[in-house]
Amino acid sequence: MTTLTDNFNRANGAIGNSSEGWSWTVTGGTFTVASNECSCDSAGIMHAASDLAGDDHFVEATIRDTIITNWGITARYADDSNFYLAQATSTSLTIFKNVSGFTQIATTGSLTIAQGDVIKFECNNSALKVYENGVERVSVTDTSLTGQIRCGIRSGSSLRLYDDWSAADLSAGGGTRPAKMAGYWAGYAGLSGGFAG
Amino acid sequence: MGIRIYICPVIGDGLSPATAWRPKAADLVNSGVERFEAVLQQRMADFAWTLAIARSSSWTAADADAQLERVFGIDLPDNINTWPEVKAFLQSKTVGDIPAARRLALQTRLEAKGIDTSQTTLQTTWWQVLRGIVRHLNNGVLPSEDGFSMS
Repeated sequence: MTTLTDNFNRANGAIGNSSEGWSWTVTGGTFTVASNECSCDSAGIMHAASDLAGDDHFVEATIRDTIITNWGITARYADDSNFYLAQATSTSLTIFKNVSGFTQIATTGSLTIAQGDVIKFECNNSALKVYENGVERVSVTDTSLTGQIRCGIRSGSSLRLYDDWSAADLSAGGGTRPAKMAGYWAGYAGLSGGFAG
Repeated sequence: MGIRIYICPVIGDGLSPATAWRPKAADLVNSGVERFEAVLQQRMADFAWTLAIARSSSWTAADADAQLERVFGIDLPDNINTWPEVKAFLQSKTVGDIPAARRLALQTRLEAKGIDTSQTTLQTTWWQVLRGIVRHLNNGVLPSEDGFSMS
């Protein structure tokens, strides 16, 4: 079981290496450390250049923005065109999949997302769930992306702030599965079911 | 607060989360603290329409848009909240339970989307109808079991 954390408690400047020593790979935009937080200075995406053990994992971080929009964390990241994204605004949490293009696969109704909220995005087999401060807010079933074992941050706009980022396997051993079952229809997950049977 | 199952257009271009491919219903459902759900294993860019399942405290905006079609022409009962309840309800209803005019509208709705209804009978369950739509959207792959007979 692998756990990655970064509290961003280091000198201001380039995002560089995490507080644990592993490095971030920035593939778009600009991320820096500012006042012991991660600041996305221009819209972009980065991921931990370190693998988790498997694709059943979670990623979480604390929102440090006061005005929340396009604040996101990524799971099952393979490249900038293949990952899941949990994105927060001040009034909603939404799950996207990016498979050569973004598809919105589930979103909440009206919520109040605030500075200091901890957003956790969990990918457990085909169940994708987003929690706000430990409370499940939205979930969906999707089997499009499997076997991808990196996590990160995606910010759709500048001046987004993150703190206390972490990612970890859900269980010892990781549980990476074979490639997806082509075409399998998993179901309406928020309603906890599927079409099979 | 009932659940609705919609056939509706796919909107968006997929270029960013702000313009992600999504069912049009996503923009028209005011779901309050409830959730909007859309399950789309299909690659949305490949279709002009999709299925969406939605909850809302108000259907005003959705009702004002003629492109949002309730698959069976009704709201599911208010006491249905979970997927097993949705499934059980849809399995308990057959095409024969639908009044003739609405049944014709359903057939027209499905055929307009290219779905073959030739094997649908009055005994076909609503669950089977939904699975047929799913298979159509899922490039012909049908989830196992359930005995769905639509081609």
